[in-house]
Amino acid sequence: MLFNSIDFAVFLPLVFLLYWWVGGRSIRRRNIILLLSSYIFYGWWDPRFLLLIAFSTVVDFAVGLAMEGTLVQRHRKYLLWTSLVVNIGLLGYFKYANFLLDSFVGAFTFFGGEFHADRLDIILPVGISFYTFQTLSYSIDVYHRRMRPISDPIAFAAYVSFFPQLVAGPIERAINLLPQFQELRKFDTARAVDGSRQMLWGFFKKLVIADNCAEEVERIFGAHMEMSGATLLLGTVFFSMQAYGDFSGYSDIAIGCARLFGFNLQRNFAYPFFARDIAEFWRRWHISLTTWFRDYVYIPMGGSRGTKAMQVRNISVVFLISGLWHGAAWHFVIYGALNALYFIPGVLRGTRSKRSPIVAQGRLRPSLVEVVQMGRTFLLASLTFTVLRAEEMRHATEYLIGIFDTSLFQWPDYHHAELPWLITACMALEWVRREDEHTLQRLGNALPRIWRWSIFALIACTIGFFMNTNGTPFFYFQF
Amino acid sequence: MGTQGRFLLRVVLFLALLGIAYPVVLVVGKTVLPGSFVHNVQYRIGGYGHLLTRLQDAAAKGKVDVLFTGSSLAYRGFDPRIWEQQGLRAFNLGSSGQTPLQTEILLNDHLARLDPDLVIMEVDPLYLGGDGVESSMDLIANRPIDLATVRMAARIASLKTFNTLLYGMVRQCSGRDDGLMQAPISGDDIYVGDGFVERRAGRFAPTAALPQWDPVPLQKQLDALERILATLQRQGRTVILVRAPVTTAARTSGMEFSTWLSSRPALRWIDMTGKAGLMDSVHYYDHHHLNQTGVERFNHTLLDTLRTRGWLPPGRTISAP
Repeated sequence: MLFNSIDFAVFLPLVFLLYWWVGGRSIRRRNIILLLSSYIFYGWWDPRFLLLIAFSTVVDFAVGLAMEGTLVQRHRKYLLWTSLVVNIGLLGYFKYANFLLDSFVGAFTFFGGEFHADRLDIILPVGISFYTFQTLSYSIDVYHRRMRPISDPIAFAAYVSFFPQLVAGPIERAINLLPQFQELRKFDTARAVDGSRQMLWGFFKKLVIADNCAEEVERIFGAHMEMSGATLLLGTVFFSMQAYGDFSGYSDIAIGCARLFGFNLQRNFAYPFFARDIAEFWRRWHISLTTWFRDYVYIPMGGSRGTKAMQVRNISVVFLISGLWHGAAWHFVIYGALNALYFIPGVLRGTRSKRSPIVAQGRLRPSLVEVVQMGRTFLLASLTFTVLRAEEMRHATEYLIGIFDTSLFQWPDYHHAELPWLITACMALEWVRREDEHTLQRLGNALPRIWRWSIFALIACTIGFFMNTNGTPFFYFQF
Repeated sequence: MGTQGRFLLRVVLFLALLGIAYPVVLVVGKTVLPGSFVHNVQYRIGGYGHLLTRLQDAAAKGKVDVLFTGSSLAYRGFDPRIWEQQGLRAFNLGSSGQTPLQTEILLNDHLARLDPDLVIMEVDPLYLGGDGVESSMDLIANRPIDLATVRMAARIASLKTFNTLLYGMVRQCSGRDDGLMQAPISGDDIYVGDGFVERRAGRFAPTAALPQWDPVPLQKQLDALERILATLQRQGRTVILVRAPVTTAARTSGMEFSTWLSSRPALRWIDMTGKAGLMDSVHYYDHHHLNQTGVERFNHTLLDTLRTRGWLPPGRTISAP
């Protein structure tokens, strides 16, 4: 079920009513309602994939309990490996089997061999990359004794399948989210209101910014050889805004929706386009994935300890895996490699930033230096995103070469005349509210309610007036 | 009432405020912003195919022998003047992108007065597979909004249609559309009367290949088609479904629609694609529309086909206008 669908507009109020009224004050009853709702939400795409998520749930739940039941470290290690093999195995089969097959055939052919293999007819289950990482975090944390395993199968199943963040994150850690399923959530009006505001802004970013950008991006990337350099450059900007609007929009809706049910999910985006360098960008973009890799891959490998060479290796491995997480193709690996490349100079210099955590903190206007830093980071990130959007590396290369042409100085060609204005308005509001957790968190709080509500109503009206009606699915679902 | 109840009450109050604010923002936005900024409200008086004039003509017209319905393939394809030469009074009730959901409304409006013996419905899998949004906005802007329009909007369930409907309601209530007339010539198009739009364009040089796909008819369109057929049958009128000609590149196989047709053997159906010796570069002005030379050839061939099959209503002597 998509957040931006009539189905969800009916589903959410129904679940809300069931949860708070039928659920009563019973933790178990509420968890059962959430579990069933989540399975309906996920099964809306394809009920067959429910078996997959149920299987993953059963394995990790059993692994957790079995770890608790043994003191022998070797046995615990076997159990952890069982969880890793099952989860990564499923992810590998559904997401990477054809990639591995193609790469194997390609390598064989490259060395003069002749080998043919039919691609496997595999459908990628929606959100598998997200919930796999979520369940893995549980097994790993239990193994490292960072948390006690849970003995309530309903709470665990509800945690794995929690519908607001099931298909596109934030990728929650068991240590943060699971305890929330074991305590009685109390309805907090302030939290619910805040969640509703966050959802509203999420819908604006998705339906107005991302979906309209998607149409331009489709047109520009689809015929990149015929476009001027200026149009191609604009295409990269539109794609950056699409990716941001789509993914941060989804995260805002997910976090806001979870708040309606009394849950706190972790922040996933912190105004990444106001970052002053790539390292800061990655601290602000898809935070739940970045910190997952930091905690479960980078730090276990040694992190920033050891020699510079080891640090470079650790950074490179993390970014390469992160690239591959985005998709099963070589250009995703190159996307990861490019980001590692931008990151490494800072590691080699070994300098630690003494800047404030938020650009131009306490000021409305940034300094010229900050503007240049933000512009440079945005441009670099946008050009790198081109690799993410391209169908293959050749396509990305042609696209990037096409930008740097004399036609770069022509007026770009775009169909949605309103789009640059909408993007500017969105970014301006985000800039003004960048010290808040989310854009609408405290917007208009000093105003009387009627004025505050009028502002939110205006945002909702803007969605209805400008949203793209072609119903583009969330971009990150493909990951 | 608990805290949840109070929260829900606030949500309901906010939605009520939104319900008041939305039409205001819609009207102000549509009035103030440049047209290129506004995609979700398409209120075009006259539309692309002289619909305002056509509907005004239909309202003033009496009994006809033949009535045509359908998309631009109909109002640019079936020329009532040619049928008149055969002693058949005809009227063309087509509109841009018309799907059965819109045909249903137009027939409800005009069928009793036009009282045709034969209804020729131009039916193309392309439009049966479409949601009818564009055509619905055309209808909203060019005929008084009533319950049937609201019902159609609900069936289409598109934000564009709802927005245009809201905007149209405000506009029509304000009387801004009263007494509007449309010029008969618009660009290369000439509205020649009886619903027909003529284009005497030169030859067509097809350049771009069209994407090949097979449109799947939407159930709501098939349901509307079934309702129309049932109504016409109940009234004892003859109905013929005709697939109008398009260029070779624009043809779709229409497999799903063929399956639907084969389950209704009693239905009169003529597929005119690839018939009448029509040539892409000579008889069309774009991939979907015939120029006047093509129109004449197509209409004569269709008339011959209908006469051969005995499907034409008896002709009559037409008195001079």
